[in-house]
Amino acid sequence: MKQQTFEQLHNKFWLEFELLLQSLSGGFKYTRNSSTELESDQFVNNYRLICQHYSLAKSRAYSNNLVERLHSMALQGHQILYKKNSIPISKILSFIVYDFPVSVRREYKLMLVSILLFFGVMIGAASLIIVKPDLAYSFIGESQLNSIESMYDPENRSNLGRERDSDSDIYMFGFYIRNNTGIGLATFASGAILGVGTIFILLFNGVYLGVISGHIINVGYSETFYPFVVGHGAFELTAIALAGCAGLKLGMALLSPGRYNRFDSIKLAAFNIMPIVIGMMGMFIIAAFIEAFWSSSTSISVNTKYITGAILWLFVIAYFVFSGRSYANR
Amino acid sequence: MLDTQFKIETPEGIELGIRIAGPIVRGLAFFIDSVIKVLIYIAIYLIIIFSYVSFGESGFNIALGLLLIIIFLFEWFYSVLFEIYANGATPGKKIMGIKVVCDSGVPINWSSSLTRNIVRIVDMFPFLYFFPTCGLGLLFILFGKRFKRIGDIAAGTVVVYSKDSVSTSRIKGVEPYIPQQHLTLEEKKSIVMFSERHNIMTDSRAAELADILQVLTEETGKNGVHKLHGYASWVIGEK
Repeated sequence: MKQQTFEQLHNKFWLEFELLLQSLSGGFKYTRNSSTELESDQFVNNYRLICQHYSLAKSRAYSNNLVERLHSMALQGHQILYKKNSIPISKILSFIVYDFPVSVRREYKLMLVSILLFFGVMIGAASLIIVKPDLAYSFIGESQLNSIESMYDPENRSNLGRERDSDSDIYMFGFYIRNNTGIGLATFASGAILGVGTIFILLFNGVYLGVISGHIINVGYSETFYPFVVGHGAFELTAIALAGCAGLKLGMALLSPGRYNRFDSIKLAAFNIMPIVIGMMGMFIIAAFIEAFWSSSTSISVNTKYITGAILWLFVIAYFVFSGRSYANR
Repeated sequence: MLDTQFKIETPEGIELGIRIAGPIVRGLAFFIDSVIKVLIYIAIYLIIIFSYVSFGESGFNIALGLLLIIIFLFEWFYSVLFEIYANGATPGKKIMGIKVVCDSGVPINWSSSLTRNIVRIVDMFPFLYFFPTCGLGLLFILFGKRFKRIGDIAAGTVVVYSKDSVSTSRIKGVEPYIPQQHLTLEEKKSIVMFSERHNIMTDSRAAELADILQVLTEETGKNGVHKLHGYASWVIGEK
């Protein structure tokens, strides 16, 4: 068949299809585009026909103009047909009760490594400082240590101890979200440098927080420090360990890709780890909320804070150990 | 051929070619996006100053808190938002005519978009928040396959041109002319391609090219070009 005849035969159909493509792939769309048109078999059938025309045109060595035109139709159709759906509410729920905790349990080995690197080092550093108090000054500069001291000095309640106004709570909420979640995301991302970045951030924060905890005990300010951190710590510290786990997974995917090549390996790892990263961000936001509106409040008694803190810790641990187990075989 | 096209095979059994965007065009897109972000920050900053003037310190604190949340979202998720909801292109990419797609050529999904934009911080290392992918990312783009930065490798994405830029059109109404020698399929195709590109070549260049085929056309200069157009219209089937 000569090209001219081929064009005359199908041109009307192509023009219609191009019009349909245009209406389906508009600019900024919030939801999946007019699904009625997509769900009807019409689109799929027409798309297949276009694919067929494209390969015909190519194998018959029709002119570039025509081949390019059909190619561009096939490409656009391909992208519309294989577009992923937006996320329904039910998926968010199943993410919380199932995907997130199950993904964490699947990576339990790396999670334990991460916990060891972060919490282990933290406890180690704290114990060291309790035994040898002077060492605190070799880890953290004197002026910084003094300012932290004054923050938790029970006599000096002007700083943290004062009941803040709700507006500065909102300020702190924003500050914690940006700062802490950012650290979490950086911890994950820097796993792409063979895991080195992740390990460094975990160790650095572990030592830093450990030294401060130990030092606070030494100077005798436990009464103000621990009630403050216990509540949001359940979410914040766990989230750091989760970010560490995700980062280590990226690093391991590069270091020991197993049967995959390294490109596929890191791609697969990043995909599998995404629920942990998303969940980790959620936990940082919860932690920021608790830290800004609950932990800093002085009208709540110390005992209430300890009890609530214990409940939150138990809840977080139980969540990761048990949630989604009954669906595990699904 | 030495070009930036790469092929993907679809379930329908056809091969689609996509042109990959290089570091310069991506850098410019990133620069435009950065300018947009800074403008938005400035706008928010003005709101904060305004709230300080009109509501005093409490309004200032609330505005500052909200600003920090917005900055956080912009730092990490500005691109994610546009890549998901605006066909894989942030405003900067859209202006430069490029977009992000998965390795398989299908539109980018949530998890890939999150991955490539979170890992961006590593690509910027060690020049954080400086010119685009100036650090590690640029090295990977220059020395790796398909112009991928680390984020693209981890997410399984590529940045491609959204449209083929050169548009050609066929000359209409040229008298068909049957060549005296037998032409293979490839030769016919070349002649049609030549004819279709008439609008992106100067006349003298067209004549120069047509002169190569003097053996076939037995003409030189303008007449040769005209005869080739005639062959082309015969190949296509003009009557």
